[in-house]
Amino acid sequence: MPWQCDWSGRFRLSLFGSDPQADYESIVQESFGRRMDRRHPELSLVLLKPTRSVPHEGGHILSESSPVYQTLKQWIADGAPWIHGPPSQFLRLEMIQNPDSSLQLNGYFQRGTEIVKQDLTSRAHFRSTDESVVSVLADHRLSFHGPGEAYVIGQFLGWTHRMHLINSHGELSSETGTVPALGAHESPDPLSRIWRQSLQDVGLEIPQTAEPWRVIRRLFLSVAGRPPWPNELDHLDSLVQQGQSMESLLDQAFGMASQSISFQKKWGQWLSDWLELPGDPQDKKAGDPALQRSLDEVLSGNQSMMDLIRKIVDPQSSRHLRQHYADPRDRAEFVSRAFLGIQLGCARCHNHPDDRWTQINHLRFSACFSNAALNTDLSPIAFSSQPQPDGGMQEKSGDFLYLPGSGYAVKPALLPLQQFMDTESSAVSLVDWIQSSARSTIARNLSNRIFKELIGVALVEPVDDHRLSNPARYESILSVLSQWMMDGDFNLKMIIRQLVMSEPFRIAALNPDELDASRREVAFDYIQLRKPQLLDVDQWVLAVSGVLGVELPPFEVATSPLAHQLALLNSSWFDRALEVPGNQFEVLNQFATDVDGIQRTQELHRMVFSQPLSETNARKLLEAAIQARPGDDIVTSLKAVLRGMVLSPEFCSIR
Amino acid sequence: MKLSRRTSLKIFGAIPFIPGLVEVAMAARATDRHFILLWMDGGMSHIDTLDPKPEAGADIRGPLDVVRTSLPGVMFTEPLKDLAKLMDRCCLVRSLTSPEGNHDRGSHYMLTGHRPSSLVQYPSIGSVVASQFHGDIGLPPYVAIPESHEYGREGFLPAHLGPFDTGGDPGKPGFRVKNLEPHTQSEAVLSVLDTLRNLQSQPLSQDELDRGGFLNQARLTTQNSFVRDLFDLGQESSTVRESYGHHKLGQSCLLARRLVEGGSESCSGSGYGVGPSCQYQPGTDLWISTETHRIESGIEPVDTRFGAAWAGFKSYSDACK
Repeated sequence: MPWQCDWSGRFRLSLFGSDPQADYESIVQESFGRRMDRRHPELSLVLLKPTRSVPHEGGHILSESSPVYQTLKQWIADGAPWIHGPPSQFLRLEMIQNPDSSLQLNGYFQRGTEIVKQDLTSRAHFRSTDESVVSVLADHRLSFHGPGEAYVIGQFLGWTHRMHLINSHGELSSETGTVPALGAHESPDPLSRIWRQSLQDVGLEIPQTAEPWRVIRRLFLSVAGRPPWPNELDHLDSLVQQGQSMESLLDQAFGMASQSISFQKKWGQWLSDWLELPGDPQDKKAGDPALQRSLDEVLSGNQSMMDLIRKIVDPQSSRHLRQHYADPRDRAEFVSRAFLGIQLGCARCHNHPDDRWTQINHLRFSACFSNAALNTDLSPIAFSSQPQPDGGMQEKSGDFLYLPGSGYAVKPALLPLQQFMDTESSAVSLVDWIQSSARSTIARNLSNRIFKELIGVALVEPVDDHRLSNPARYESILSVLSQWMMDGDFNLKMIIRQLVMSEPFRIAALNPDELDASRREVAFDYIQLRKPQLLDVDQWVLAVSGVLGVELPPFEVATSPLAHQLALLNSSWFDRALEVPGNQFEVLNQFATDVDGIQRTQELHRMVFSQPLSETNARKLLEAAIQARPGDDIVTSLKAVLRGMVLSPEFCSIR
Repeated sequence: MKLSRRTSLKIFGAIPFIPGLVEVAMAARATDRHFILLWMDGGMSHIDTLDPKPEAGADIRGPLDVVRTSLPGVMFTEPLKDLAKLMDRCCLVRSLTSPEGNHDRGSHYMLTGHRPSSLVQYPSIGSVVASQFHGDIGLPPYVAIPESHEYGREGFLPAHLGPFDTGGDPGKPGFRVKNLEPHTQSEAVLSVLDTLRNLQSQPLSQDELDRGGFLNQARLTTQNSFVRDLFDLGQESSTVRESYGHHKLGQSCLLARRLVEGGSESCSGSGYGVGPSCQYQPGTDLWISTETHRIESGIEPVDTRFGAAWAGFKSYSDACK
């Protein structure tokens, strides 16, 4: 147990008050109780020293008029009891804003049959999630600054309450003051409606969405990891000519992208990263065969992600947990991180002030993953609910989680996902708990991760840190997505489709420089949806594979950015890629009729950038290659043009 | 660029264990001296090499005899007799230690000047030096031969100050740093890239600009045959290569010398030196002398060309003292 506050070399209190019983003994009973004077509380050493009423090496910590001093003094006068008054149960927190803009945090306690309300403001911490919008002053008053929205978080011990505040941008016209209705051809999906409402709430007008070709390109890159092929673009162009709606276009585009092999590759990698699977996800021989089959089923839409999660957690279905994590604490942290979106690891060693999860929570949840818990019905020898002073846990024979020196095995308990929930959960198995109590938490976590993958930024960041004091940027959007996830039985393809069909996705495809300068900063500083995402090596290879339409060899990963660029510029990888039989560059040249290569340059540009290129600009590009090496034939020059295109910043990121 | 001591200390973030490092770096710049770090994992037993205890009992001083060095009052063990002759040109630091008793944490402390922290990634000494004195000739400011240590990276400094790992094994025949030779189409590709940039008017994000910076650096490196030649050990005579020793450490040292001659601000070479005294066995002095002989031989060319010895750091913790 970590110790702190070694005032005199003997008087010690636990770190962050994590051991109240030991602290009580130190203050009240140690050294024959010399620190307390129950008859004259104001003469107690525990009050005289921090107020520097007696010589003391420590600083002046308390003043006699402070609430803390008064509370301590009263407690001493009451006899310094271990439990002050009748036992009470913490029921809930409430945060209110007074007329003078000051905050007040009230706690409600159950004492016997009575519910008591107590003002906790002086002992609480307050902070804002966006100081540019609102800040909390030292006297707990709110100070509003720029437009936008923010949460004010109030915390007392490990309990949290939050308040949502909005400072309007004031963009909406005073004449209408209403949100523009969705167009007649646009499907009024809940996500788009809520998105518009959230903008209206902060007084912002709706920014225009990106041009169709840009949205479609981004859809293909986000869903399938590759740009659309020319024939796909031609088909979608024909739909535009026929006057079909944007929604219809996106639906068609999604159908094409999701049925391609590159969809399997991209989302197979995403699933592997999420589940922290080692090695190449395409290596079917590695890992757990049952798990690999489940991954394939999820990708094809035949199985839900909840089934996959259930299989991983259920020891009868998969060896994954036991194979990759020997320590039950590591198993518990993986499950909470990957599936629940909760960072539990911080509580592994000790409690932290203002943190929801205690060491006990961690310990008892970890016990659910001991070999005994995974293999048989739970039947511990005995249990202790208090960590021992020398801390640390040990696994004995892999069966139970024991407390060192105690001989006690820890009694397993599932995480109390609702604040103020009793830590003693009912007798529900881990697998059933995943599918019932934890279902909405898992839906929220997965929705956030998929949103980040498609849009470029997460609604909750970090993605494994969902908690009251870390609110979502758009809570209403996350709620809708989570509900869709549950209603759709955690179908991966379904949720991806819903997102790419929505207005936020279309706005995410917008280049901020396409907005007029007067609105650029306001809309995008607020929305912050759109950021070019650099492609990593594997994503870049997937995109180039998509352009060429063939499976390409892996690209050797260099250890430094400079070495990587040198490899891209000088290695023979691209030469080998263009030798793969049936690649689109080969096909293009096979049926070429333009001797000068201009038309082929234009087609290459469309393959790589999904946009047409004028004849003039195509000539400039090709001439740049020819002039650098005049002796090359036209095909070699076109190779240089293609190579330059796929090395360009525009291709190397999703923009 | 001249830096005041105060400014330098602020920038370097107070590396307390080597208070003179800033002055060394500044002085090096002023006189075209550079910085080579030899990171010898494992660490030599100091009492069997550079810090003998001849007056201690036999159970402490070990079986090796001592020799006087060219520095009065300083003695080395007998296998290092050649190095002993050069001590008037070297600075020997026997007081260097680490508050960390763990290899990994001690290495971090030695390489960055800070104890490991989960909150901050500290830059290594190579990156710090590179941040102050980098020119723009296409030669990477910080080169790691053949690869950088886990804690030998740029930390919170910009990525371009991180090490360029040569890869491979310089001790093996035919060693070449990959991808330095321009592809036959490199010129054409770069010309196409420049033309594309002019045609596409979309502004780039900071991440894209950073990546473009590395592409530009790759372009400079590729186009500059002088830079490429610096990495070519084949341009050294067989005599010189022999004197450094045909093994990874020796040839790494030679490559490091070539690079700092060419203008790279800092290089790090790594190797596995002799083990700690607890592993010393009687009768293995031949092994010790062979290894150190090769290291010692490398000093002469360094000495004649640079006029100062290179600094070497021990990574070993106090565990084996």
